[in-house]
Amino acid sequence: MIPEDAPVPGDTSLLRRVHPSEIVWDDNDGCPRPGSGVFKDPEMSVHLGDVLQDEDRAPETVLAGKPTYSLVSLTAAFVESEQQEVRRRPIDEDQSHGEVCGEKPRGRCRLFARTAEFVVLETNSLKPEVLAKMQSAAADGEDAAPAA
Amino acid sequence: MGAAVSPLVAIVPPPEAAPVRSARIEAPARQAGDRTEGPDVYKVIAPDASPWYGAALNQISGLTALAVGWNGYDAREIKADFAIDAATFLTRVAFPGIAAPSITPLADGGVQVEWHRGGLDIEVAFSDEDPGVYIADREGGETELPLSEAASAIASYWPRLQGS
Amino acid sequence: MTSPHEPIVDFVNPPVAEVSVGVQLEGATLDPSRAIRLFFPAVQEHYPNIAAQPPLPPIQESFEIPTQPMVAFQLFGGPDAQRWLFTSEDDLQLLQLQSDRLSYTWRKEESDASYPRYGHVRDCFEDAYRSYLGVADGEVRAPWCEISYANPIMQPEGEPRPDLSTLVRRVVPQDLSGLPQPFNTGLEERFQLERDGAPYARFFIQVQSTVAPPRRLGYTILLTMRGRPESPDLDGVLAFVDEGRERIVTAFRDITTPERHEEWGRQ
Repeated sequence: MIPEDAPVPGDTSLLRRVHPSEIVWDDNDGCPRPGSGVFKDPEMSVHLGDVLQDEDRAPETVLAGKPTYSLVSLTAAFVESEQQEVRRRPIDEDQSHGEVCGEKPRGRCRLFARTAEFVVLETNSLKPEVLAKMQSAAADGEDAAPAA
Repeated sequence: MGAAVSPLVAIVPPPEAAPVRSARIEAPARQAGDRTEGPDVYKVIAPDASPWYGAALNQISGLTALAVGWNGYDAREIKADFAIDAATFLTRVAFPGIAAPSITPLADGGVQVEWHRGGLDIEVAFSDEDPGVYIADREGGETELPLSEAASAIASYWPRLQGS
Repeated sequence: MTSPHEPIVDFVNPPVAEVSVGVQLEGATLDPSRAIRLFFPAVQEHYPNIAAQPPLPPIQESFEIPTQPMVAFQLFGGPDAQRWLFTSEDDLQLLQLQSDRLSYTWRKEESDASYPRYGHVRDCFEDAYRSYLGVADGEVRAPWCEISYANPIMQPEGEPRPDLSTLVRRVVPQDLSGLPQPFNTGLEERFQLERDGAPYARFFIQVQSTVAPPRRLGYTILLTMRGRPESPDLDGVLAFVDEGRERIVTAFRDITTPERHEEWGRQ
C-alpha cells in the first residue's frame, strides 16, 4: 500500500473521467479531445495510476458504474511542469483519488486538453457530430487517433 | 466591432459575416394547460440562422438537464441563465456559412461554446468563475477578451471558421 | 386489453370534444418541404386544407428527479421551423406535421358532431402514420407517443359554475366560513407509470375552469398519457396509444361522479 505522504513519481498516470458532453472534435488536429473545461478546477480530482497498479486494478475500473464516460490521462511530470502540485487524497471509496492543485488559466487548460490521451474513448456515447467526424476522418484515411 | 483580437486578424469582417440581425430570444412562451412540469420554453426567432442552429439550441437545452456531479466528480448543475446567454450569443453569430461550434458544459455550472478549426481554438465561456473569450491562434498568439466582444470577435475570424 | 373498436365505458352523449394522438419522430423524417411534396399528396383526399404554424416543442418526459428548471428553445424561422396543419373539409379532423412530430386530432369545436369513438380516431392516425412511413426515405422511429382527451363540461348560458365536487370525485365539498363559492377551481395530478421496474410514461389529470362562448361557464377535464412505446415502430406506437386510451377512459369514469354519468347517458 502506498502511503498518503509518498511522493508521486513523474511517470505516474493521472486519470480523469470525461462526460460524453465534454468531448469535442478538433478539426485542427483531426481528432476528438476533451474540452478544456475538464481541467479547469484548481483542485482537480484525478486517480493515481501507481495506486491502481498497487491495488492490481485496471485503469478502466475508475469508470465502474459510469458506462458512458471516457477516461483521459496526463502524467504527473507534465502537470508539475505547468506549476501544478499532485497530492494523494485517498477517499473511502477510492484509495487512488488525488488532486492536481494549482491555478489553471485558460491557456493551461487548453494545453492539458490537447496533451491528454484517451485511455478509454467510449464511442457509443459520443455526441453524434463527434462520432460522425471520427467516422468521416477514418473513412478519409486520416489518422483519427487522439493527439499525444 | 470590438478591438482587434490578433495582429493576424482582419479588423473589418466580410459583408457575409454580418450577424443575424433579426434574430432574438423571448422569455418563456409557456401557456396555461401546458404540461405540468417541464422546461421553460424560450421562443427564438432566427430566420437567417445556420442549419446547425436548431441542433445547437437542443444541445444547450440538454445540458440544463445534467444533475449535480454530472462530470463524475462534483460538478454543479448547469445554470439556466448561462444556457440562455449561450443561446443568445449563438443567435448573433449563427450566420450562414460559419461552422457549427462544439457546446460543452462547465463544472461550475457554465456553458462553453468552442470552435477548433482554421488553426484557431476559440472558447467562449459563459460562467460565474471565468467568463470570457479565449482565442489561441496556432499561427500567432493567445488573446483573452470580455464576453461583450465575443460576437464581434467571431465575426472577425469568420473566414477561418467557415464550415466545410 | 380491450379491443380498440370496443367501448370500455360508453355514454350516449360523451362530453369529449377533442382526442389527439401524436408521435415524436426521429430517423429519416420529412423536412417541411418534403412534407408538402411527398406527404401531403398522400393524405390530400381526406385533408385538403393547408395552414402553416410555428413548430411545437418535442413530446418527451424526463423521469429523473429534476434538480432545477430545464430550459428549452422553440426556434421560429429556422430551416425546420414549420408545422403544417392539414384539415378535413368539415374541419373536424386535423393532421399536424413538423420535422420531428406527427399527430392526428379529432375535434368537435362548436359543431354538433358526435364523437366517432376511439376506433375511428386510431384508424385515422394509423392511416396517416402509414402514409408518412410510406414516403419517408428510410427508417423512421417514434421514441415518444402521446394521447390526450379533452372533455369540456359546460353549464347552460347564464348559470354559475358548480362546485367542482359535483363533477370530480377526487374533490371533497367543503363550506369555507367567510368565503363565497370559488369562482375558479383547478386540479392537476401527475402519475408516473413503470414498465419492468423503470419509468416509461406519465399520466396527467388536469381540470381547468373554462368559459365557452357566448357566456357559458364550466370545466374542462384534460387527460393525457405521454411516454415511450415498448418498441419505436408502428406496432409499438399503436400498443402505447391503445393502453393510453384504456387508462384515460377508465380514469375518466373513475374520477367523475355517478350523477354526471347519468347526464351523459351511461350504458
